[in-house]
Amino acid sequence: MVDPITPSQLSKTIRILVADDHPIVRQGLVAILNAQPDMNVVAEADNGRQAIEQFQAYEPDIAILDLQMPEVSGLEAIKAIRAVFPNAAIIMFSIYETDEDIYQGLRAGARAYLLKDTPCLEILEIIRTVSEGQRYVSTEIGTKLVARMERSNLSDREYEVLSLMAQGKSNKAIAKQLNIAENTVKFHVANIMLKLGASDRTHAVVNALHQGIIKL
Amino acid sequence: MYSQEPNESKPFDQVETTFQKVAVNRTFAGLERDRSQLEYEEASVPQAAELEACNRVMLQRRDQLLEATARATNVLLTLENFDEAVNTALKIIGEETGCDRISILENIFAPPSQFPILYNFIYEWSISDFLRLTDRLESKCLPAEAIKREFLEQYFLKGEGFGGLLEEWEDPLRSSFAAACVQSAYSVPIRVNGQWWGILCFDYCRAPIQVSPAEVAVVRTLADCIGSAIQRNRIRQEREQVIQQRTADLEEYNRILLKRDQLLEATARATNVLLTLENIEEAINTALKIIGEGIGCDLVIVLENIFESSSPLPKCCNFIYEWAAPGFLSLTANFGLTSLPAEVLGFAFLEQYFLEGEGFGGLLDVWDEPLQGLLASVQVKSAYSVPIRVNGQWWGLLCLDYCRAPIQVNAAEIAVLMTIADCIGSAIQRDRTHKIILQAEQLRVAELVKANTALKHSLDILAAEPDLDCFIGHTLQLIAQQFDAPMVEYWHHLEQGEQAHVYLRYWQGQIFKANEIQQFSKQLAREVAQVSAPQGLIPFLDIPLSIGDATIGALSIYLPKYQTFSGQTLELAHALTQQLTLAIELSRLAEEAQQSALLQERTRMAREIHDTLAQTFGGILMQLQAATYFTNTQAEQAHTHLLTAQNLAREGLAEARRSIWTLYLEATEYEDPARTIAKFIDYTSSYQSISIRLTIDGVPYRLHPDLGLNLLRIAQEAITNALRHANAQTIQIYLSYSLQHIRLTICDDGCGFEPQSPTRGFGLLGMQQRADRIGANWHLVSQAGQGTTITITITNPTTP
Repeated sequence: MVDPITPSQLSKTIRILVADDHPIVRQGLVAILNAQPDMNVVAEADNGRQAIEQFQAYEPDIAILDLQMPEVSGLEAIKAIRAVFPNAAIIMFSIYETDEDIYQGLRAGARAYLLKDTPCLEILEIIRTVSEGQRYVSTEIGTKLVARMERSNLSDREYEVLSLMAQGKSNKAIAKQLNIAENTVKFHVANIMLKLGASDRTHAVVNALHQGIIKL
Repeated sequence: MYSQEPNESKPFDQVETTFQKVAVNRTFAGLERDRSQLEYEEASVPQAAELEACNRVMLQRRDQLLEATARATNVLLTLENFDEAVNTALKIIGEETGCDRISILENIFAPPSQFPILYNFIYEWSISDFLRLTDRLESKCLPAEAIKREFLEQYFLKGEGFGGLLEEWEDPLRSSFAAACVQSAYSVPIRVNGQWWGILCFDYCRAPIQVSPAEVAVVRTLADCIGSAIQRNRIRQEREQVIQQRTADLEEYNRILLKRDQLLEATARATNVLLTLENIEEAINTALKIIGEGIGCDLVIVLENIFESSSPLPKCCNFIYEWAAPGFLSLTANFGLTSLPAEVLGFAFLEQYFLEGEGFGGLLDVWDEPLQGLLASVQVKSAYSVPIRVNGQWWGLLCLDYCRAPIQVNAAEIAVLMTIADCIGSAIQRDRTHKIILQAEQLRVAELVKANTALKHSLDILAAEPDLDCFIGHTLQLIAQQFDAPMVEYWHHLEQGEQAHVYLRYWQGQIFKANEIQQFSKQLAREVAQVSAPQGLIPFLDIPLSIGDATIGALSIYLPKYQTFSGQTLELAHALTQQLTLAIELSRLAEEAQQSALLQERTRMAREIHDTLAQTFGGILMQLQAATYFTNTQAEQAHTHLLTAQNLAREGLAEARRSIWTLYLEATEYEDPARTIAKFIDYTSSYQSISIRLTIDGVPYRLHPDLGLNLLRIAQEAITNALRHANAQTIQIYLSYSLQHIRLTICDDGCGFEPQSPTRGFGLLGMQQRADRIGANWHLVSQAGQGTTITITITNPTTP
């Protein structure tokens, strides 16, 4: 079955940048996108750094950025691109539906959050919606977002401590690395546990990973 | 006087010279007077011839007299024996002058009267025994009444003598003289050192001879000489007496000094014994013996005060050391008692002489009853006691008793006694200090043993009891036992905030947890109140559990108000508390470490799942979506996507298999990639026929588990690729360790590929990403038909 071509689609081809570190995922997606008469993948990227470079080079209408990319993460790439192109239309693309990612990504200016297991028709739909200057947030994503927004934010320092906790570092090692007193680390850990509703540090890290506050 | 030497002769010579000068002057004065009289007579008497004859006779007489006087004076001055000298002088004078008797009377005074009460005939010369005056008078003395006072005063006290024929004398002397056949008599005073001393008498019995004034003058000179001789004799006698006295004094002093030497020697020996002998009993007994023998007393005793309550006076004094001279019974044996009650000694007596004074002693009669009677009952004739003071406090008595004779002790001996008393005091003090130190040491050793036992016990519990709460409970119990405390609490300090709460409570042999304390709070409070009320239980001591500057909790020890304990107990409590702190901190660290390890492991697993399964499924899904999308329109394209999905699924499965193999490894094994890679080669070789060789260069060391895991995963991926795609015959793996680098090289002799070819496998990318993640340098060399070499280099692998 071939989708009917509408006049608006004729009038404008959506120029797309696809950034994903997994070449086979990228290749599959690009194949589908390029099969659309109103879409054209103008650039591809393996990692965040490349994504930024390609965006600057091609100024695509839509950028689909994987969040988990080496060198420069998807989120950082969004921020970097938005800093230069405030109106850049970016769709986040991820295997995971962690609320922190959703929250951080949307806050950084992404217009939609796409899971990699989203049916391809829906993916195409969203791309078109976004290209018209709209945002797209599914019901499920919206729920996650609300959950995240109800939670108090971790401070930068708490975020740092949490990241190190997730690496399995002891308070002492964290204190040494951040160059702060061990008691201060304890204080942060206690606060992190409180904010994440965790009973111990493992629980806190697991919760943080679930919520996407930290990544592996 | 003492300063003069007895053999010095010069003062004698001076005295003698003076006397001689006086004698000569007198003689010449007499001659001068005589000569002027003669000149006067020559001028007044016309008959010169008669006068000349008379003169000649008189001059001859005078010359005789002068010569006699000179000889007598010489005798008086030279003869050593005074009596002989006087008698000889009298004889010379008597024979030369032709008088019949010469006598010397010595005045016997009875002060304050200046008149004598008696006149003793002390020297006499007479021409014949018949005329001896003392025989004639039948007395050796003349009573005062024999001579009238006025007469005495006029002629002897003040004058220069009296003389003349018998009838010129007055009674009662005249009648006395008559009885002594005197026809004429001349007397001159003898003066000694200016004082009237006696009388020199010339008696003429055969004829009433008149003596001329010149002759009288000569006699006076003789009297002066005799006076001088007497004075000289007196001085000599005095001097001799002085010398004798001085010699006696010196002898006495020597005796005293000798005795003092003996005393000092005894003191020194006794002191030495007291200071050096270790055994105080032996030291004091020996010292008493030395003192007894040194002083020569019969009993030496040391009494110790036995005090009662806070009175400075003892309730009694116990005999504790005794020495008795050979042949004497000791006092205790004699008395039959070993203690003297203070009432017997007398409180006032004790206070005056011993508490405040420096002792008491003397012959038996100075002692008051009942002590006097008591001493007398054991034949003590004199007794001396001095206080013994120890560290300034009156401790007891040192007593000396003399039984053989009532000997009075002099100041030197008392001083010795006091010195010994001081030394005994010091020795007792030293002994006491020594004993106290010894006791303290023993106590300390005992406490240390106790502390060690307690600490060891506590450690044993810690070793045997993995549950921290149980250990804290045991520690509370141990501390409670040490202090004999009914209640000890462990307060837990929360990390955040400043709150603390009772975590565990030891109460009378039982341990209560926080929830139990809450649950039974009323009952417990009632019990505590019941026990506390009579004893007055107070929160006595809080010992904080500190790590660095942070306090993690505290131990509260509750004690009855007046309960005491030793410093060692306190130290032990601190030691136990430190041990507890250590245990709590160690268990917290262990928990933290366990959590950290768990997190590390989880993180690793999560990453593995992401890197292998999630990514692979994502890729497969996307390919399948594409295949589905193109099924109806572009069958070929759809087919390609399906193949890609299949390949990806296969790779993903292999990856998952390796991943699961990896997860079976112990976490610690990751630290040693040399071992894990070797293990993986073994595992792979079990179902592959090609040769895989591992060469290790340098000395392997442990790596961070993340590094180790990723190196292993890269090696796995490379080996899998070589096996699956390269059709290699051999695979060489090099792992080289140096301090700065660790390098992994995987070489295969397979078909190789063009690195720029878009068909390169998904595995290569995974490897590259892993290398990126651990900050390693990833390098690939491959060419079609030339095999593939992958090199991963980690710089400073040991830096976290």
